[in-house]
Amino acid sequence: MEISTSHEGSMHIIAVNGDLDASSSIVLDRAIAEAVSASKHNIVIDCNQLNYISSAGLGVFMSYLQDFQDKNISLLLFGLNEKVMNVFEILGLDQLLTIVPSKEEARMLVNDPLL
Amino acid sequence: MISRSNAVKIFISVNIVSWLLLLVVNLLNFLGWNNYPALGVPVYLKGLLLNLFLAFIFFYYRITVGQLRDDTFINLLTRLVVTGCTTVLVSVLMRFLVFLLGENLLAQHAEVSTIFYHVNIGLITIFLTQTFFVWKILILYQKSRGLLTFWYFFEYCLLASLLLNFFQTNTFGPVFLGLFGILSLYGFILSVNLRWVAYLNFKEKWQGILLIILVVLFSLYFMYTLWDYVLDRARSVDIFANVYMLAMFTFIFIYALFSILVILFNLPTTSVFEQKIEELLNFQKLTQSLQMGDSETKVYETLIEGTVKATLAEAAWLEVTDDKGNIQSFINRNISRSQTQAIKEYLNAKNGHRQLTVPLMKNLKKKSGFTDSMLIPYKSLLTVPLLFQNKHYGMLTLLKEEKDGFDNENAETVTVFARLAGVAIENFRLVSNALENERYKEALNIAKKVQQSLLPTCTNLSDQFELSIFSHASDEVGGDYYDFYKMADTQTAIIIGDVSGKGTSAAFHMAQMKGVFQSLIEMNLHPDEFLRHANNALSRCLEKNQFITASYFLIDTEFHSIQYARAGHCPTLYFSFRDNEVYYLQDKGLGLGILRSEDYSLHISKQEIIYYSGDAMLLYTDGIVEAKNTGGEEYGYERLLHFMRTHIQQPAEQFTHLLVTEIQQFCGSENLDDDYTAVFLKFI
Repeated sequence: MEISTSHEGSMHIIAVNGDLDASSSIVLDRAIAEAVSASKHNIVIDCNQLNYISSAGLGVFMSYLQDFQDKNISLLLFGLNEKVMNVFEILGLDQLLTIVPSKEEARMLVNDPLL
Repeated sequence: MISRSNAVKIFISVNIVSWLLLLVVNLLNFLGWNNYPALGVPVYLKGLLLNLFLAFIFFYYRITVGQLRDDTFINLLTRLVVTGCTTVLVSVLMRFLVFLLGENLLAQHAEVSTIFYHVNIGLITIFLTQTFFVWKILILYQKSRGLLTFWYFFEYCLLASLLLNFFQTNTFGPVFLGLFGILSLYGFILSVNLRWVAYLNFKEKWQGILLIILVVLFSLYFMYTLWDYVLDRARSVDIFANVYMLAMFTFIFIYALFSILVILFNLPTTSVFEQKIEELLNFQKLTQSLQMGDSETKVYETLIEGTVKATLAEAAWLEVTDDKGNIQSFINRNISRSQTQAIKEYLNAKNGHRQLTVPLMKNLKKKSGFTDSMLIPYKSLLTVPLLFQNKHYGMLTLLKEEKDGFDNENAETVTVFARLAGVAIENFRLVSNALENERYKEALNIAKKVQQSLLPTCTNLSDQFELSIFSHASDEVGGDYYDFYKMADTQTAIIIGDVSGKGTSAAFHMAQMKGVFQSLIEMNLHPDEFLRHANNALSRCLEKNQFITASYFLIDTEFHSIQYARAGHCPTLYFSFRDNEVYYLQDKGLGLGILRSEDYSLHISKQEIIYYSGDAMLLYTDGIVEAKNTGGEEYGYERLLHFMRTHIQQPAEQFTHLLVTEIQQFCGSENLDDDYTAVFLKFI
């Protein structure tokens, strides 16, 4: 798995490429932790190239739920393929995370002052 | 066969009898029986008696000295000198007696002289023959086959020369001289075999020289004494007119000479040879100590002992470090630990803190000062790393009081020792790792048994439905969980759960889950309430990034109802007999431990369905739908649905069996890398 970070406007985009399993989830965790410590408020995960997510990968997202709420950080996921989306849905994480179809929608949400 | 001790007895008896007979014959001879040819003793008879005596002495020592083959060389020679001393003493006593009696008396009583002469013959034969066989042991030390054959030939020739005694031969005639020449040549050739000398240490060499000189002196004395007798008076048995004795004496003399010379020449190099032998012995000791499975400390001590002896070092210490560089074993000789510490600091300051990979020789300079303050008397050191396959296991350091005390030769020797020690340490590590692994395995096996005891095996819960289970953990223990509770006669609770992750940590949480569920079940809660309470309880014991998925079913066989709630677990597959349709029970539900607040109840819902006879449910964990084939493709929900539709007619037991076979066939292996569990329930 590979991870690349980029910035678009106020969005701190972390693009995940490949399988998110027990070992690679540590890399993602580090990337998110770095973004948090750099006081990024809009962390956006680009899942267009994410093929598979294991429970450890899901664990990364859920471990930040409370943290983000406390620090008023918004976490957005976009570009999930059907299979990965299904995993989020079965676990119910889709109810807690903001998941949008594409980067455009993510940008709109980030820029929406009401959110 | 005659036993060896019997043979020895026979030899001794023959010796004594033949010697006495020979004495009698000669006395008779002397008393003038010769004047009566009819009564005279024929030459061959005298020859026979002499030969019997000589040959049986020969056989006697051949056996008795041969038995001493394993004794040390010095002991052999000492034994020989003792015999020599005794025989010479007896002979000297007789001389003294003659001196006391006076020459004149002896002249009158020539028979006394004859007796003395015969005693002397006996003594010299005993001494020379024993010497001959001691020489044999020395010559045949580390013998080759060829040498052994050559030696036997020599022995036979010598014995054969006894035949001459049957005839009145011209003492120094051509036959006599020829035979003597040949035997002497044989003796000369054999005398170049002096391997034994190399195995004497310095002290033993001096002892050897002394003892051999004594042997030579004794034999010269005997020769002189006998010569005296022969010169003085004509003897009917002239021991010098005897190729056997002369050849034996010549051989003994030549070999003694060679030995003395070779020992003398070997003296200066002895110390080197001794040291090499010691090194070899110490190597052998170390190797043996490894093979015998001696304790670590014992092996390290053998290593220090060996290297100190090999390099003649005055002090040494050995440090064995573990993977993290901590000192695991420390052994010191003639140096305190604080002194070694000071030297190490000095070396580190000189060489930087890099680990040595080659031996290092260094002088400890006085001006650096620390040697005085630490009272270290040593001026040079040799330090050698213990390596195995480039892995650093520790250091062996040797010290000497003089400057430049170590040379490359020492360094090489110690390196070889160190290499051996490296292998030893690696072996110790491997063994201890293996033992530790064994312990872990044992512990895991126990954990496995404990976990299995947490899962129910009895499926006979109700006459209203059939139940069958299959569960497998990819490691010894896993995070899959299922349980059944009989709430009342008509009510049964069924739970399936899955802890995120695998292995031991998942297994612990699975046990916690069982505990939580077991206590909640008593509260007789609705499924959604049940899961809400479970979320509360489990949130407190799960790591931040860990969660549990579960589904809870409450089956009432009286009202034919199923109440259920799902907490993020894989949706249950349901078969409706009436509709002849298979579908997933879709509803919302959040995994346990994800949302750790009261808001959790917002994300969970209770469902209720009415079942009919022939309906069936398949509860399973994600290991089944996420099972991958060799192409990386997942088994998936579609295939599972299809499988259920196809095999729904099967009895419950057969159904799970077929499902497991199907998944294994799909993956192409029996060992899936995830935990997977299936619970199949079919209403009757």
